[in-house]
Amino acid sequence: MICLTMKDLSYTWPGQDRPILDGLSLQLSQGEHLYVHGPSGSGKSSLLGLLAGILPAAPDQLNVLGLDLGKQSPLKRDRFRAAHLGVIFQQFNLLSYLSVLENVELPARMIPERRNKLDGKASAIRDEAKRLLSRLNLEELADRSVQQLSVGQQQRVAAARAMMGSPEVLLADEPSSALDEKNRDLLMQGLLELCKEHESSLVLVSHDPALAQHFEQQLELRP
Amino acid sequence: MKHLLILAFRSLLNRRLSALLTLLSIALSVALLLGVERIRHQTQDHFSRSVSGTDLIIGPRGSSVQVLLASVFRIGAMNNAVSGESFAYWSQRPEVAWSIPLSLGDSFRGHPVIGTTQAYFDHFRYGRGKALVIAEGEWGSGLDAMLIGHRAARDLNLKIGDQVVIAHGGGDESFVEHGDHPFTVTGVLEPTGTPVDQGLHVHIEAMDRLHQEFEAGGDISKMDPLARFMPDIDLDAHDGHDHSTHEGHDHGNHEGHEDHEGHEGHDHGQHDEGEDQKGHDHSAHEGHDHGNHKGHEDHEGHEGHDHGQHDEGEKHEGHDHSAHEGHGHVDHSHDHDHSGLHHAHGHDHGHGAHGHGQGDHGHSHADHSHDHSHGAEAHSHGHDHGHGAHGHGQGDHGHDHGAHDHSSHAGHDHAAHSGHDHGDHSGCDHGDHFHPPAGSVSAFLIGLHDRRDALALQFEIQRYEEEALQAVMPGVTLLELWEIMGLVEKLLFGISIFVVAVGLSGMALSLLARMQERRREMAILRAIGVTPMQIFLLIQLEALLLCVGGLILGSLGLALGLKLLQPAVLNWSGLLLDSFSLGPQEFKFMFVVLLLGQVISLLPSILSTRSALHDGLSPKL
Ligand SMILES: Nc1ncnc2c1ncn2[C@@H]1O[C@H](COP(=O)(O)OP(=O)(O)OP(=O)(O)O)[C@@H](O)[C@H]1O
Ligand SMILES: [Mg+2]
Repeated sequence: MICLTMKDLSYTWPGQDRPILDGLSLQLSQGEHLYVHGPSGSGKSSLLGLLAGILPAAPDQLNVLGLDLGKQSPLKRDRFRAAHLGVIFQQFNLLSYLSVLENVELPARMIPERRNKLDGKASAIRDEAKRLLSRLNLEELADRSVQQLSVGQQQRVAAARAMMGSPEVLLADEPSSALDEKNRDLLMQGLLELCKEHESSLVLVSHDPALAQHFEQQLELRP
Repeated sequence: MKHLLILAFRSLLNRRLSALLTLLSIALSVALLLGVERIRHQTQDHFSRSVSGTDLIIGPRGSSVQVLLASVFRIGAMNNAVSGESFAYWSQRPEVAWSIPLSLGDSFRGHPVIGTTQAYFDHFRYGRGKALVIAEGEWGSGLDAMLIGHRAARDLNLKIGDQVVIAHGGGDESFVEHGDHPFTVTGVLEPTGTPVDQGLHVHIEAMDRLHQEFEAGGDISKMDPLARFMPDIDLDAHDGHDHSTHEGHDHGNHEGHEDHEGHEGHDHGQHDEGEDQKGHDHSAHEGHDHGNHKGHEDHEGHEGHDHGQHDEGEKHEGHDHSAHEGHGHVDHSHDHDHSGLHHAHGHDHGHGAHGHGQGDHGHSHADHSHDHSHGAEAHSHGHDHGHGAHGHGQGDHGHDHGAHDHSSHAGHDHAAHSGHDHGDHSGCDHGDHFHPPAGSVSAFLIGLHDRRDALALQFEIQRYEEEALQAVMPGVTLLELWEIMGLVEKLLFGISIFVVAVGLSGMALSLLARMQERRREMAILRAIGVTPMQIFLLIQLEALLLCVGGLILGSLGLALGLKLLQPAVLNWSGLLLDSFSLGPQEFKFMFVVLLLGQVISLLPSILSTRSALHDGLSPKL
């Protein structure tokens, strides 16, 4: 099953005369992982924005899970993202006014499509959130405020939340760039395990060549 | 939606300080809005409930609003009265079904004391034609009987059998009290929710007595309560009084008295209705002073009197004021300017053998109509200025007895006319409150057989030549009152709406100020799949929560405030503030506040949504 297809994908920011992404083509099977790298300003984050459906792609250039994102309305793309995609940022992934556990539960609580994957019950949501946290060795932190976590812990909580409700595709934008080696490895290990477990594809943006080994495909962007 | 609400709530909780401040400002403005509206509404309701079935209120000419306020709502005071004659005349008109006299102007611990008659309880109606009902006890016919309103009983903690000493004048107890004659609570009324609940009702004659006592500063303990209502009792029976061998005499029981002899220190000041006093033998009176005797006859044996300027003394014929020595009566009717000589003045100043020094006795006895209707028992009259053997020094006795009427002094005791102490009377001036002279009323309410007569009767009353009266139609004057109050109400309402707008703007401002630091939060939500519409809703929900919280807090604050303010407002305006309750009016205003809050929050909501859309997954901080 095909997870992601780019066919001559281009993107130009409004108001700019030069496209930031130009003629990208690629096909990724479900469960395969993609490593995206390139210098700063080369458009890595912009690419993830397109994949997530935040930025509008042109028709027939980008297909995710069988859906041509270029032909969808913004609302449809939001719904699609809500149902099928998990997103991890470089930093500050968590809502400061919720506990660790609540942050992990958030997608399933907010998004009906995610909730439905967990048979909808509140107890099921909680169980799944706890399971994800324990898979990342964070079970003791479940009831803490996110402000009491280290950056590494925060990123792993973000990974757990992204996996809530088993999204088919995980988009991660330099999730380990703020971490030391040990924390980076912990995070990558957890992410890869969870992806394997849920048969999710991981699209990861990073400057760190050491991570490339875990990925079936690589995409290098040039400015 | 439910989760958005939880999220909004948690987000607010996270920044609780600013949220609390916003909440407070909304609460305060809401309390003001609801409070102003409530008081406005309640005032109108209270006023229109308070009287029903009364076709006309008749009072002295002046402001119709004043008459209505004083007679029905016990707010403000009357500074004039309606004479007993006018009351009788208009009450006996064939169109009139009933009439209720009211004597107002006194109070007990902030509760109005109302002198009235049984007619009040028979005919007065409030609300939708409800009559006053006595919950327990009865009024009774005793002069000291007092029937009290429900709230008066509660607030003053009075029960049947308790004694009440009336302060003189309205308001607090700063005035002189007369402990000598307490009223006794004989009954308590059922609650009515009108000013009746506040009132202490006494027989109108008792009210007169109270005032006379005050004028007199003396003791009139047991008077005939019926004297007022049987004006004929007056002096018809005074033929042949026997005042024999009075030394410091006793005028009690004047029926069949003959031969007033040996009076020392007697004074009849301005006897208005003494025409029928015949056969008085005031022989051997020493130190008598008859100021303004009207129609006294057969006063014999008086000598040496000087009745200077008797106003209505044309009928002083054959008076024999024996043994009066050296009295200089200068202007008996009013200001006694006693210079250098012995003298007496309007009241009962029986001068034995003493001299008023060179002073200026500015005794101003305005309009003394002494009606000595002597009843069956012996009473001591307060006007015993029998000067035995003491001298008024060179002082200035500024007695000012404003307009009083001793019409119901039944049974005067003019005993002990010697060794009298004048001291009490110096500087007694109670001119700053007004109560009607005995025999007259402050106002009276009438009900007609046929309401349609009201206009014609009103017209007639306004043109009544005997006395300057006005007849007030309660409904019409209430409308007048609303018109007066309307502008103030509108202004208050406008101000409170304005304050609400300011409170809500504060909320919008705090939401806007937070917008920048919440861009990360919005990006996270967007990444999860929250739509821009939901972001918009989130901000609106936060505003809603703040508004609802403000409304609840404001209402609670208002409820508490009203409860705390209730006694003060009651005391000050006679208006009983109901405790706070939520009615359709309140909900309407709350809805308006919520709506306004939502409209004002549109700005931060839309801006947040736009920036969230723009930022996407990577907010630029
Ligand atoms: N919101 C935006 N509006 C307009 N132009 C943008 C916006 N975001 C990014 N760009 C443009 O796109 C270019 C690429 O930005 P992008 O964030 O995709 O780079 P990147 O590869 O993620 O860089 P980095 O490694 O520093 O994160 C930038 O040079 C910038 O000019
Ligand atoms: Mg980037």
